[in-house]
Amino acid sequence: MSFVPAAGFADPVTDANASFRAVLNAMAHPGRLFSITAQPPAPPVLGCGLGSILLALADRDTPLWLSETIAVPEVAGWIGFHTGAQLVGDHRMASFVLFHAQDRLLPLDDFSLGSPEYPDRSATLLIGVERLQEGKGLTLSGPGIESTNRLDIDGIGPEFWQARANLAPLYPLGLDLIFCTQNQVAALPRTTVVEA
Amino acid sequence: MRDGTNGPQAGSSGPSSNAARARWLAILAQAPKQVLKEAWGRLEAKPDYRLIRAPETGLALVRGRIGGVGQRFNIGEMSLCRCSLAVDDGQGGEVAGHGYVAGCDQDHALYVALFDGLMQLPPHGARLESDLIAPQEKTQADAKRQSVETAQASRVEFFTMVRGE
Repeated sequence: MSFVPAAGFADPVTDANASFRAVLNAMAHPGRLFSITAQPPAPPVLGCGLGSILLALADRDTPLWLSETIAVPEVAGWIGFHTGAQLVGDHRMASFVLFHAQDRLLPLDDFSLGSPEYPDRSATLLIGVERLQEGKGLTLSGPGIESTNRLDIDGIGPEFWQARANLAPLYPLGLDLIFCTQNQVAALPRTTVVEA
Repeated sequence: MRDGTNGPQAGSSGPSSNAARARWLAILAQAPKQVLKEAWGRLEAKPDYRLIRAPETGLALVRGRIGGVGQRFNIGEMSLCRCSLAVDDGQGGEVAGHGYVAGCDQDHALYVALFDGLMQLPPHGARLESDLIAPQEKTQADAKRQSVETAQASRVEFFTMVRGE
């Protein structure tokens, strides 16, 4: 039998707005957790947190790159059907890059960092994690944080933070990171300083 | 409105079945909703279905060559409704049905998607072909022929007399 995709948002307008608002709030308050209330029946390997964010953000103008563990036909079909976004084989072309914390890490400076004229054309990394917790772990500072903020991100090692810190001198070029579990999201825009 | 048309074309398997499906989708999309509603009411065993994309209304840009010559260009936008659902095939599987219709009648798109799904299932497909698709095809062809004949009958040929001979 041919492929039949799962459904998308139960209430497309409200759920997309709420998911977009959660990402917007997370970007405005780096390291603070926000709830994702929508529960679309996304393929399990993607999870409904990443699924909601994709349904809210991706469209046919945003090429996507999926890590090996996510790039199964079920996910590709679901994303293609509901968002119309193109899946690209070359991760340097992608606007959104999806992977899980446990996936093999690619060199961060290999992703699109934007150009000096258009730094907004950089890639946004959507990273699925098991657990996010405020009040311990990494120390965050920078725009959007009054003094410091603490966030514990499960499964992201020090080499990742080192690679991210190496991009800081390239500002305003850089990468924005969105971490999400099944129902929570936190973001680290390129301006946030992370100390282990 | 987002467009999923570059996603996987569910329920198709080769050029011949695509052509057959395009035929019945065109007939269904142009059939009045009332006809589809009655045909659905006549079905004895209504299959279960689940919505993949609930009926929604949006705009589509229509392009064409208005004068019949030159490059295609934007004519304007039209409203349309679409719906996608999965019809239970009664054997533990399901087939995808898609409906796109002109206008704002979301139920119309739902019925087209339902019948698109049913047409792919052998027991339903043959009966619907004789019960719904073929009669509608004839009705639509007759209506078109009649409107062409009416237009032809009122055609005026303009010509200019050659002067000065």
